[in-house]
Amino acid sequence: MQVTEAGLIDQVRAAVHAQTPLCVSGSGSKTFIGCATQGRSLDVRQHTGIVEYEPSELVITVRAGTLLSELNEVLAANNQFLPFEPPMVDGSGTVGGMLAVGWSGAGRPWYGALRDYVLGLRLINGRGEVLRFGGRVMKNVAGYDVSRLMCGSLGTMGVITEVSLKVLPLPIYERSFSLALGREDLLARAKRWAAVVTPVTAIAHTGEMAIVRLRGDERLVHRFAAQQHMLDSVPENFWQQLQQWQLPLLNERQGLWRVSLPPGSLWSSSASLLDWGGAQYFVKDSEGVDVVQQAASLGGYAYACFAGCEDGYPRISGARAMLHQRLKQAFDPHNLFAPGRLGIM
Amino acid sequence: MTANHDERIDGPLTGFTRTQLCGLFADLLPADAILVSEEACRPFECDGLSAYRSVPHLVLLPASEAEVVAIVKRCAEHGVVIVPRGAGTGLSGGAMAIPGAVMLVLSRMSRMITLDAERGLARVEPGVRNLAISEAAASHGLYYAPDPSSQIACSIGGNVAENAGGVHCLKYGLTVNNVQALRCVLPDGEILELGGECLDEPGLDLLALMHGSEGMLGIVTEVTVRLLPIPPCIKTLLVSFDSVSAAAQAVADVLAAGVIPAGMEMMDHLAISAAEDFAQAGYPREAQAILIIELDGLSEDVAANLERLKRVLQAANATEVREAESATERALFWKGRKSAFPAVGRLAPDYYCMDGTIPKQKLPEVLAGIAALSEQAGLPVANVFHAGDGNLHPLILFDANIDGQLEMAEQLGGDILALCVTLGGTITGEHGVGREKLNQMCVQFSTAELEQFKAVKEAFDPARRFNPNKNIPTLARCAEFGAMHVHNNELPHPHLERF
Repeated sequence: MQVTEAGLIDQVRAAVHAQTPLCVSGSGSKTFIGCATQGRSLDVRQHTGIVEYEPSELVITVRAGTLLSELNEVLAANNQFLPFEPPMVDGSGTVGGMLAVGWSGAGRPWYGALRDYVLGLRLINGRGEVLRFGGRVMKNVAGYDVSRLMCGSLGTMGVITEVSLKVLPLPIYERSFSLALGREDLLARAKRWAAVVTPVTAIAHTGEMAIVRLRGDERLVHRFAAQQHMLDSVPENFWQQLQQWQLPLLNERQGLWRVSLPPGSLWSSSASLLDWGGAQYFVKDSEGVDVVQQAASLGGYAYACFAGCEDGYPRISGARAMLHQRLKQAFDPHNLFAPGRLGIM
Repeated sequence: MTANHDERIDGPLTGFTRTQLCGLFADLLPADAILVSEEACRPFECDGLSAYRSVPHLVLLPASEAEVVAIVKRCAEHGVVIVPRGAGTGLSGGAMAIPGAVMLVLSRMSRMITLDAERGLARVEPGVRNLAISEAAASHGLYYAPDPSSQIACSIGGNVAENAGGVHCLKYGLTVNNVQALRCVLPDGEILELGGECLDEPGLDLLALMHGSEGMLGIVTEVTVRLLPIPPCIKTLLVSFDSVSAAAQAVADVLAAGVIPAGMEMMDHLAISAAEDFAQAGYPREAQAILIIELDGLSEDVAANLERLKRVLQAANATEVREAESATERALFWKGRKSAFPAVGRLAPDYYCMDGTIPKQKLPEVLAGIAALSEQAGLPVANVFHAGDGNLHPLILFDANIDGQLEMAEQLGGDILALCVTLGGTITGEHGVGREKLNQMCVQFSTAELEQFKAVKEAFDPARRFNPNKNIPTLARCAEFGAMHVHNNELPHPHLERF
């Protein structure tokens, strides 16, 4: 049965009254991200539906509990898509969870991140007030940009109940190719591509092969592929399986890390998958490598993709930590929402 | 206008006099970086919104981050308020001086620190001009995408503070979408580093929050922007229509057909003739509306999209579709658009530029509404839009020398913005709230929302020393303004007396 926003507000107000912590939850597909927390589950899965969608506006407004699979279907039926390809772990995930986590998929370096497509949201804060930030239009600088601020908040600032997103038309044509290149050579090639406009929209390396996605005019795509000596042998549904974390390396979560690095970084261990042209890796820590340490030495961050890891979420420090604390206080004065999940307090 | 600081509704001022302020910083900055006399401070009395004037009591011109930190710490010690300012091209009075405050002008911090062509990143000081970045990057085949009309003069620090847009936002985004990292000085003098080389970082997106925060949360001392490869192929169309609603429908049709132009601009009849008189851009004077549509990218992509685009435009009853045949002609098409403000400025002694954004499908409705309001007020309005993203710039023509016209223009502007909110839009797409739109903020947001903004401000600046009384109105102001509308069946400001 559909839960209304008023119903969610009631639950928050009851928690305020009883001073009991809450864990906002969607499909629970990414609960392993962040530090340990506890609280009674506030389930938004029944707060669903498309609120407004006019394809020519390039804007869609959806309730937080809507499944990403459903959102993608609605967009695809209108030849549109979410260019930042939010991770859908095991094919699951809700719009609210997507925003709270703030991660993006394979197209990130070329299209921008989730936060670049967030236009507005509705949020129930820790006083049980429902607030609207941003809007349903492309450009909006009225007030502070709280909508984008919430990307990556891991449910610690309130209950996101509705999100407005910018969407784009599907590419005219798309084709993926493989390259007989090792990682170092692939990164060198990617650097050359980045200097000019190309049809490249994703670069990955599984360890065995380099895989590149091209989008644009069909002749252009094939001309570019031929020029670069690209091969046709790409595993079927590779990008979809990557987005859904169903590739061999990703489907077993224990010991799996997501590592975010400066673009063009080379991760040395072989039990890893290169994504984002070397700015993101999925890494298995089975070889006794200190993933956190190695990520830091390359100038990046490591996120555990399994629960219960003590240093599984990068530590926020210095002035940023102080501001996180104060913003938490500003949105959630009773510290009700997922206390401790950002590793601060 | 209502711009002057009003202690009743804006809160108390610190009460520092010019003499008290000028002694405070002599040991921190060279003498030529401290402007004391009213005469020396006068050039800083307004930003691009020249109707709002207030001469600062003291102007400081730091040349380094270390000097900014020293000034901020000194101000913290003594409780002095700081108004930061970039190049002063803002259009909402965001850099308007506050009595008893110092103005911190960042234009001397104009070093290009590094330009890393390989990574496509430029690390620059806040006083670097927007266009100077693209000029420096050009020899590497790169450029910085956001291009506000003021790009010759405006500085990148100000672009961050306002989240500046431009005519190519539809495809390339605003400032927030093109900045990779920031260094800021917080009100206690601490340095805040945000972003970096990685494409994301843990926690809240503070980097996004700083954009458009109008100098109220931190003072930007370093900006790392992303550079993009210059598109090898550009095609520009000048498209005419015999009604504004036909042009508006064409905009929707183009986007629905899956074409994302680099820019899609609209001008109405009054703006067309003004621009034509001013720039001789070859615009069709008889047209009721024109669109300037630009495609860029690789030549095959552009060719494919151009074909689709032309088909859509024909079907949308365009009366003429003219393709720029040379770079010169393309520049001319854009010259007319980019000089629309000064061009319209010649039609009347003064003009007042608005900045609402609406869902694009409401364009015919909002234009009819603006026409009605314009007639009612007896002031002509010329319309220029970033049509692709629904951002309107109605230009209200008036004569400030005629008693009452300034107030009428302001009233008309406020009514137009309220109309934008009613139609599901916002009061400002890219110019910011500043001092100018404080009252309209009361229309767009509820009490609880304004209180939440205030709490965000206090998280950064508990003593309210960075550019207070801009952007977020006090509840007292909203009560006075009388924007008593109902949100969620709750009257705003329930604890305040109604009058």
